[in-house]
Amino acid sequence: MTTLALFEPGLYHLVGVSIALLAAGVAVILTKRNAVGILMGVELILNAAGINFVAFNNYVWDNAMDGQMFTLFIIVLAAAEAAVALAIFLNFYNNFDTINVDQADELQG
Amino acid sequence: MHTLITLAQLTAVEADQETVRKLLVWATLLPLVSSIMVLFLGTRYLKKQAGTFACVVMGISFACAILAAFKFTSGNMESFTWKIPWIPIYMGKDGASWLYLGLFCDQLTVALMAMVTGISLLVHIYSVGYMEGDKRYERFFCYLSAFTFSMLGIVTANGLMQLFVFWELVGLTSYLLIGFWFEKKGPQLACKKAFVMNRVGDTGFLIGFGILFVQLGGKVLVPAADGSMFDAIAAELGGKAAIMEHPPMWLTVAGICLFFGAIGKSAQFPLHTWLPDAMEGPTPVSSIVHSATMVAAGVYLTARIFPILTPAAHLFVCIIGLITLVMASMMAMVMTDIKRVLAYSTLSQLGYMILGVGSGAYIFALFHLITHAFFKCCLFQCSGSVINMAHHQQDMRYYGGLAKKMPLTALAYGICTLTISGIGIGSFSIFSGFYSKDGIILGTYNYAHELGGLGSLFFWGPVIVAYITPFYMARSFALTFLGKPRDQHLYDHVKEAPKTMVVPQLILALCAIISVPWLLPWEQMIEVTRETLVNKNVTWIQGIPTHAEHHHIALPLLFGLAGALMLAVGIWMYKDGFGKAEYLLKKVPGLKLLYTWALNKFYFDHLYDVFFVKMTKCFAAICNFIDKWGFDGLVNVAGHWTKGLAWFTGAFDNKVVDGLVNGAANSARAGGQALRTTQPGRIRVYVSLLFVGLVIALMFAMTLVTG
Amino acid sequence: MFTTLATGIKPESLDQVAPFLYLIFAGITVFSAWMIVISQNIVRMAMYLLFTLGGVAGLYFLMNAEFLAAIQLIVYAGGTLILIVFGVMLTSKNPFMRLHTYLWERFVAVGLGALLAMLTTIALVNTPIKQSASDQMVNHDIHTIGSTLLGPFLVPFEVAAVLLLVVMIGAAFMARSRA
Repeated sequence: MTTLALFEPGLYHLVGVSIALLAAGVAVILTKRNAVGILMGVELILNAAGINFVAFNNYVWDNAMDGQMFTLFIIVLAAAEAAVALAIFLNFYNNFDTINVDQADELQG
Repeated sequence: MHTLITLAQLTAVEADQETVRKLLVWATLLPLVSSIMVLFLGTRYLKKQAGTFACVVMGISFACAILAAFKFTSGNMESFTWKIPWIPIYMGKDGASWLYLGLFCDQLTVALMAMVTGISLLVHIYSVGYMEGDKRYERFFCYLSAFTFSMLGIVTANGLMQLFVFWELVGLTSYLLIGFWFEKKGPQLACKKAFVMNRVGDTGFLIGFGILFVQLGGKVLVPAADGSMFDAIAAELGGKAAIMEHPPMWLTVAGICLFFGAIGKSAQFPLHTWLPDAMEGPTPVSSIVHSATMVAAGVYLTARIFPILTPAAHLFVCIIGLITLVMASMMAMVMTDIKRVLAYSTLSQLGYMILGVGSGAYIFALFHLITHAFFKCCLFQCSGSVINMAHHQQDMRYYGGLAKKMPLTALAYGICTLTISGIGIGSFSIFSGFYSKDGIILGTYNYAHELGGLGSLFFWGPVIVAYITPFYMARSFALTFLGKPRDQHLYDHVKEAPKTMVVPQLILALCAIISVPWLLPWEQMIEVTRETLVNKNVTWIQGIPTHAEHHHIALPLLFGLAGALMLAVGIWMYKDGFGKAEYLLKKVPGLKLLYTWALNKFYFDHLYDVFFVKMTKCFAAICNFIDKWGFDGLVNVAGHWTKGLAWFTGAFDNKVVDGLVNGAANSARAGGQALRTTQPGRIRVYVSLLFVGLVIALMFAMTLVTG
Repeated sequence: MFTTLATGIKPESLDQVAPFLYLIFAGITVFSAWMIVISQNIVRMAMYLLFTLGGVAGLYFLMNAEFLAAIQLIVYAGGTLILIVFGVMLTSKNPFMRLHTYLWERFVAVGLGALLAMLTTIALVNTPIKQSASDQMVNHDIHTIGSTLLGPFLVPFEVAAVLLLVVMIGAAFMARSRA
């Protein structure tokens, strides 16, 4: 294999990108105190999942297209989730006058 | 009577009995129906019509009773009984034994039924006028009808249990009626007093009942097939004659105990103090209590237990009657409250009746019960009219000359005064009171003759009271209706009572005149009694009227005319107020003392206060002393021991047990606090934990897969 | 092991540049994603998210999923991201406000992320994957996608439709003004 061939995109490269996205998403969710930021982290994780689905579909079961279909539904789900989440944030903001999730601690034990 | 009865006659007799029985049941139950309906519908639907409604129902009841009475007397019927099972007391293989609800019907029953319903009807009508405007108008008729029902129940009862139930019902309803104006202190105390006094008597009744039960067994609970239950008991013991000759000791005690029930209800000597206090109730209540219902119940019971009375019991009954008779008449002479005069007059007349029963002339005692019911009811209604018109002023010292203002009331009162005085010439009178009192005095003459010696008091007592009675009645009549008005202001306001009040008064007065000798078959009853008693060879009762027949001309002359004389004396003395009486009081030595005693009711209330209330309190104080120094010492020693033990156990409890308990609680709290921090309520913490969990799960899964 | 894209229907020129395109897109995606982690400004984070999504769309494109790539751009970058930006604008008095987190929190977060990444990598390496033998790339054109959606995936498709309707109504209901 040539050095160039090593850089040719394959399953492992793409899954590697997916893993990096997953780690970034988790880190975003854990560090951001802004609710919208957390939503972004969730989007990152969903994208990581989407890349995984497409990559495995492409390199393992290239006759079928189930992976692509799942990714499609993930996108739909992400859009729906974003809409509902934003509605919740607006409500939260109206009630608490802030978007800082650390202040939503009324369930504190 | 002892003719051969054919089958056809038998069925005819049975049909007649059926009719009478149904009429009596209806007459008894209708007042109850009326009472219940007024109770539930009164305030909502009937309102001011409640009185009219109760009167109409009472009228129907009266009609039933009168029809039954005529049917019974005109058909020359014999007494009969009827019973239905009521409460099963024992259910065994050999059948069940029951308490029965029943009906006993004889001459006395139908006569009393007619009398009670009639007087109750008139009192109902009178109440429509008297109670008008009262805020519990409907309630009054409810109670009044229930009261009547209870009395009718006593009269018709067949069997001791049933009798006792109605006996208590009379006590309860009288309590409600006497305390009808319970907002005021007087009625409150009066109704309590009446109830407690009655309870004392009822205890005696129950004891007597118990003695009979123990001695004779369960058959005293079962109504007799024929005759009253006491007839049956007497027959069990060999009849009245045998009882009189060889009286068992327990029967004497039982008879006296049963008579105690009558003492309570009829307000005889030791328990008489409730009756004058019962004047606190509304006047219609007084008029019905004093005539038809409550006090009559006692005399009725005494008459019913007559067959089982032993000679000693007879003597006891007579002594009680005599004491009540004399004492009450003396008190009646000095009272100034018009209703109290009448109340003591009732006591005195009840003494006559009890004395009559005790001395064997029980037929005349019942006769007197009925005649007395009419004229005493009338007297009370008249007094009620006067009081109502005089703005509830009951003191005769403020009356005088009211005859001009209320002539009809004065007329009724006057007629009844003549009746109660027993005015008559020779053996003839138009006043019913003459006949009944005559009979009783003849009976007591026989009895006194029988006893001899000190026993003659039983004759002279009633005779003297027969002189006193016209005097105090004339006194109350003269003070109220004659002479000049002593309170001009009151006099100006008085006017004749409304029709609903006057009409019953006049009807009652009419009954008091013509009354019963012509309406009811007394002659026949006396004949029957004499026959049966003679047949049974009762030695000294044998002569109820016969022995005295030798004196039957002299005696009525003695008190018939003397009654008129005393009446005149009374009117003369009190026509112009109290002047002559006070003069007499000053001049005659010893009279002042008697006057003071009588005015204070012979200190009976004080006596009861000292003997029962104070003694009880003193006993309580002694008990308290013993308790404090005797028992408390022991208790204290025990207490100290307990205290020491308690200290030890307390220490154990505090240090060891509580330590454990608190330790458990503290550890739970600490655990809670520790766990609490894991629930910060922050989303990011939860998410972190979620991911930590995910990591752990992943690691676990990988260990599983890769080994 | 690494099959080339050359045998596909892609033009030769594209085939030649495919590794570089992959490197560019993957680089943009990962770099932007981690810039989101580092950034403290919500508006900048939204901007970096846009780049990430675009990079992912490019990766889809490289993996013969042109339709998905288009959808990713239209729906994600064009729709969802706009929603997020609207959310940012509606919920902050100051769009440039900073909500700081503690340093140790950031370390924990990054550590957790790294741990997860490491674990998934180990899992990936340890899992035997049998790649498809044929080099023939199947043509996933829009026609096939349509018939698949309305064929075997009809039920999820309809469910997704209902879900979107419910979400639309629910979001509108929750975010309504309560005056």
